Amino acid sequence: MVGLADLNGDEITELLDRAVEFRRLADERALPSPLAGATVGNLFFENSTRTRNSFRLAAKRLGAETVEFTEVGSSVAKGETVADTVRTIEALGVDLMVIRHGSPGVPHRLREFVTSGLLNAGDGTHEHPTQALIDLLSLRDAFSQEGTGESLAGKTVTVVGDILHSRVARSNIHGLRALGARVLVCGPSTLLPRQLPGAEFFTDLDAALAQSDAVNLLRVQFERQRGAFFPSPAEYYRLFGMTQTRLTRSGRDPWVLAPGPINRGIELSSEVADGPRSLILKQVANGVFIRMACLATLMEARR
Amino acid sequence: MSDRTTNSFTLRIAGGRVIDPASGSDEIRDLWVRDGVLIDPPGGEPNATIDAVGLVVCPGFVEPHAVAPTAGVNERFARQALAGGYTRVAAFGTARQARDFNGPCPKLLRIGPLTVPGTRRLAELGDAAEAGAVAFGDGPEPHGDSELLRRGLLYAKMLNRRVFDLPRDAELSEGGVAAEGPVAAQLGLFGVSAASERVAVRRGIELAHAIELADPSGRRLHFTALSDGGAAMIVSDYLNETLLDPAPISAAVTATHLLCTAAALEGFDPAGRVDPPFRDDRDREFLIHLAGEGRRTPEYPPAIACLTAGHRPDPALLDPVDLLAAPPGYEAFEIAFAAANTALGEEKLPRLIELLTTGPADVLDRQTPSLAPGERADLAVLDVAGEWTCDPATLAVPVARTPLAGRTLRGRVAHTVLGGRVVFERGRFPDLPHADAAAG
Repeated sequence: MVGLADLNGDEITELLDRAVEFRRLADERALPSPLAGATVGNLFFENSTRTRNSFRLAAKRLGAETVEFTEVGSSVAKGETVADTVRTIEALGVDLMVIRHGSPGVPHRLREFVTSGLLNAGDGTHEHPTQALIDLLSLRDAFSQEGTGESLAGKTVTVVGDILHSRVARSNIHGLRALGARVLVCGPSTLLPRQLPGAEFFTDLDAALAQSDAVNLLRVQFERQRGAFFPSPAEYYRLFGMTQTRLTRSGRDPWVLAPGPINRGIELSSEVADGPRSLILKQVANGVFIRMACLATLMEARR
Repeated sequence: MSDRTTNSFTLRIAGGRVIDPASGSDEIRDLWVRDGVLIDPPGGEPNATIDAVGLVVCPGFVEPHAVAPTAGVNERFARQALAGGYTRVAAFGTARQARDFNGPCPKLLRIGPLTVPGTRRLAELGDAAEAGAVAFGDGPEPHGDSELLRRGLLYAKMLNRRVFDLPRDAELSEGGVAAEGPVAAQLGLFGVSAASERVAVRRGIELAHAIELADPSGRRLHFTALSDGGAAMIVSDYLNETLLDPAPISAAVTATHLLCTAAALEGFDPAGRVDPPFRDDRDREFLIHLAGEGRRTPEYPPAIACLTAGHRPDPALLDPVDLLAAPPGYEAFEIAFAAANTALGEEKLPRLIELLTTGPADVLDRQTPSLAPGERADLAVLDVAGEWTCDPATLAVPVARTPLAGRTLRGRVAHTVLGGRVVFERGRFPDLPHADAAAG
C-alpha cells in the first residue's frame, strides 16, 4: 500500500467500507484486535506529529505494539542508507512499517529491500494515500448524509492550491478518478503542473466552484517551495482563499475539505473553516479509522 | 612467445572489417602490430593472432569528458573504460592515475576547472594549461554565471583552449531531478524545462560568436551534453548559418540519451536520474537523427560533434531507495557503445565510429586517431551484431545501476588493444604482468 495509483475503485471502496466498520465497532466499544501480537514500525524520516500519532493510535487500538523511529535529514549524510536503516528496524521483528520520507518513491523502492508490509505515510511531493482515503471517506459520508447517495461517481471535486508540491493532491486525483469523480485543480499558474494526468486545470476559483460539489483546500506548503511562487499570502487569499461570500456566490454550496494543519486567512476564512459545510474535524476523526483499515488489510495480506 | 632475439612482438588482427575514419577506409583486411605500433603486413608468422572474422576493427574510442574519481583514476575506472573500448579518456576533476594502481589504463587527459568552486572567480587557467589541461570546464556543476562564462571563454582563448560547458540555466534548473513532463508531474519530481537547456545554448552561442567575430581563431565553446531536441535544433541551425569558419561551438550527446527517455525514472529508479535529464521520444529521435547525420556539406560541421559515455563514478555509499539523494549519472563506459549502436543502427556504424574516435579527438584538439602504419596500436574490436541483455551485475565490471538494465542491446566491445597489448578480451581482463602474456 504505497500509493493510490496502484489501487482500483473496488480496492479503495473496500478500504473505505472497512474504516466505516471500524468506526461503528469503536462507537460500540467492540473493536477487535486483528493486530494482536504484531509489531508496527513507525518510521518518520520527515517531521510529523499528527500523522504519526494517528498511525500509532490506529495500531494500538487494533492490538499491535509500535516501534517509533524518527530520523530527520538524510541517513546517507550520517553514513547509512535509508535501505539499511529500514532493514535494521525490520530485523527487530517488525511486521508492518509505516514510512514517511521527504524523497518521492522511497516506499516504492523499499519493497525490493524488505519483506514486511509497507504503508506510505507521505513520500516527498509524490503521494499521501491515507490522507486521500480520509478525504474520500469524509466526502462519501457527507454526500450520503445529504441524501445524494454515497457514491462519488459523477461528482465534481476541486482541489485548490499548491498542486505542484502536494502529495495530497496527487493521491486525491488518483482516488477520486478511481471512484468515478471528475477532478478539477485550481491554483496560481506557477503551482499548476499542466502535465499532470487526470485533472482539469483552472486558475479562476469562482469558475471552478461553479461546477463543484466539494472543494479540497490544500495547505500552502511554504517549507517545500523554493522561492516565491506567488507574490504574497494576502494576494493568495484574495485570489484563492475560500470565503463564505465566495461559497454563497457559487450557488453550489460545496462541501469543504482541508487536510490540516490549516492556515486561517490564507487558504480559507475562519467562517468557512468553522461553518456548516466544513468537513475538517470529520477528516481528523476519520483519520484513525482509515489507518486502522489500512493496517488491518495489510496485515491480512501478509498472513 | 616473443622473439627473444630481437625482443620484438607481433600481433595480427585477422580478417576483420577495418574502419578507419581518418582515412575514410572501410574494408576487410588484416592489421599488424609490432611492439605497440601499427605496421604494414610484414609476412611471416605473428606471435599472436586475434581472429576478427565477422568483427569490426577501429581506433580505440576517445572519451571527451568523463568525470574522474575524486582521489584519482583507480583500477575500476580504468577497467570500465577499457571494457568500453576507450583508450583515451579526458576527464573533469583529478584525471591522474592514483599512485597505488599500476594496471593498464587508457591515456588520460585532464580538463581543468574553469572557476574556483563557490566563487565568481576564474580558476588559474594559465597554470592549469601549463600543467597539461587540454580544456576547461566545471563538469557536472557549471557555475551558471554569464559574465564569468564570457571571461572564461576569452581567457581560455588566450591559452588556445576550449571551454566545456554543460548547457543548463542555473535558475531554471534549480532543484530539478527529471525532465519537465508527465513522468515528473506524476511522480512528484521537480522538472527541468527544455527552456533551461535552450536558454543556456543560446547564451553560449551568442557569447562564443561575439568573441570569435572580434578575433577569429577557432572553436571556443563545447556543449558537453544536449538532451533537448529544440536545443539541438538551435545548435544545428547556428552551424548551418554561421559564416565563421571554423564555427565557434560544438556539441556532444551521451550515448544513453539516444536510447532512454524519462520513462527510465518510472518506479523511482535512481538509475534514471541523469543530468541533463532523459526527455521524451521526440527529443531522442531528433538527437539520433542529428548524431547520425554527420556533415551535410563539406562546409557544415556536424551538429553533434561527438558522443560521450556520460560516465560518472558512483559514490561509495549509494542509497538504492532515495532518488533525491542519488547524484545524477552512473558508471557508463562499458555500455556506451552498445547503447549508441543499438540506437543508430547498422547502417550508421561508420558514423558511430567517427562519433567515438575522430569526433572527440577533434573536440579535445588532440591528434586524430588513425590506423595508418606507424601509429600507436590503440584499437577497439567490436562485435556489432550480437544481441545481449544488459544486466548491471554481469558486466565485466559490475555496476550498481544503469538505466539500460533489462534492455536488449545490440553490439559490444570484444577486444580492446592498448599500445599493442590486449587489455580486454571477451568480457575479461587478461593478467598482464608482461606484454607477452597479454597478447598470448
